[in-house]
Amino acid sequence: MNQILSQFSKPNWFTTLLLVLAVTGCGGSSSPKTGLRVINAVLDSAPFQISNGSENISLGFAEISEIIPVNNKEPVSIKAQDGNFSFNLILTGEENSPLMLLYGSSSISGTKAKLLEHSDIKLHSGQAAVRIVNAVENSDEFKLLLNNAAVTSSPFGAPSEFKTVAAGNLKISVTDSLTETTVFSSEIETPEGQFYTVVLAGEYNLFFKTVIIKQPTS
Amino acid sequence: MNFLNTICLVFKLLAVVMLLQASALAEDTSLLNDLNGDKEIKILCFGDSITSGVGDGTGVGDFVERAPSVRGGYPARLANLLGVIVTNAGLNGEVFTEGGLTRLVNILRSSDADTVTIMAGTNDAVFQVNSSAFQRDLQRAINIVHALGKRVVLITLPAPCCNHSGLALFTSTYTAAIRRLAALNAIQLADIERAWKSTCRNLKECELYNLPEGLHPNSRGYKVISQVLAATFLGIDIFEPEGAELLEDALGLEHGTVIVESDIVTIQ
Repeated sequence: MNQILSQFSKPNWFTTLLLVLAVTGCGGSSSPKTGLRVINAVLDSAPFQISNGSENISLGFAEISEIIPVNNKEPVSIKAQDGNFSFNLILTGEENSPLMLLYGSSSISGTKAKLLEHSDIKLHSGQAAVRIVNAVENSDEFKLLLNNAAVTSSPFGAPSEFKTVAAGNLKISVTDSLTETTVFSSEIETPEGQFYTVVLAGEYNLFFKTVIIKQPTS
Repeated sequence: MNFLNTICLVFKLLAVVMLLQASALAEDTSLLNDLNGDKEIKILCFGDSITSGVGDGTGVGDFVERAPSVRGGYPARLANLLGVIVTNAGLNGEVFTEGGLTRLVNILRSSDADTVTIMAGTNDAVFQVNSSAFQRDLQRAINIVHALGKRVVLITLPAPCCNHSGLALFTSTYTAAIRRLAALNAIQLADIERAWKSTCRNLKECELYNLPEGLHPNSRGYKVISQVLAATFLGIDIFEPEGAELLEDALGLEHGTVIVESDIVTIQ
């Protein structure tokens, strides 16, 4: 039998226009107070199920959700599909589409959640801003580097401060603390005026992956 | 209702219809896709000696106490059935939770496969590895395969018999974990354990195994595994009463070529 190549069909611009009009332009219910994006950095967990009461989203490892609309006092439920983790979150509405990082390992006490606020620092011309969140345990076994310069502190689960960088490309690498050999390397584009959160996910001695989230511009 | 509201209602109805169409397309679960766009469909079969093909080349009724180490097995048959490139990444004696997962990740780093099949755990049973440790490593493997933009197919483990019947207690708990993970992660399952149950004439001395060895399939056993996998890749339920016929039609095979039997009893 010859190879079978499935064909994908992409929604065209007309579909997009219709969806935008239907969702935003036709006198629907009042817009949500805030929104939430969730990042899953738990390597050994089944996908998380996220629900805001009206929609359910399944989020696998190293995936970022779209902005989930959240209304005041309406809890957002986040639970691992293997039943190892579950909690409800209520946002006050004052947050600016924050990021929720899920990290750690797959157990009731092992999975952790952290809200990451956006930055409001001012950037100069030709600059972008980046922060690193190390979601890999055993952080004393490796060093994180941005453009070959060590990030001064990258404890497990703690975000670094936003650091201004020259707009362009940014190299993120991980070296072994003892041997100083590079065990992982990745590059991201950092256009001028943008803010990026880079989550390092995975497990030391097994697998690293960077998840990059661009802060929405207001 | 004013004119603007009418227009909006029409837009909403059109949007719903197109959303439904888009979601139907998005649910294309066919596994024979060129995901990485290199114009070839490639499958990587990861596992231990059963993936490597140990025991292949012997027939039903041959007396085999130690299965011959032959490379072939189900990956080569799957390549022939589907006409795609299949890489055999089986390693004899490998324990999945003790080095297997790491080897898988190392292979994946340089692999251009679109889909990865994983059939592992039999040697973990030899060392009586805890089922939850096995499940946790398999979940890691699934997540890593997905994070690298590939699809994964899990394969259940047929229950060993005869000289290796003592392993069946552990392989059955691993198979339960494999089924659970397939459901939780919404991924495809090639249920070889079920095929053994439906196809073996005598489960206690299954003729699909080298006997009395009872751990590695013989040529007929590998044929069964490849046919179940081919059906999984083509989205055919091989266990339906007409499953074998559907697979034969899809692959242009002669009637009677597919030997996997249905386990569904129809009452006329």
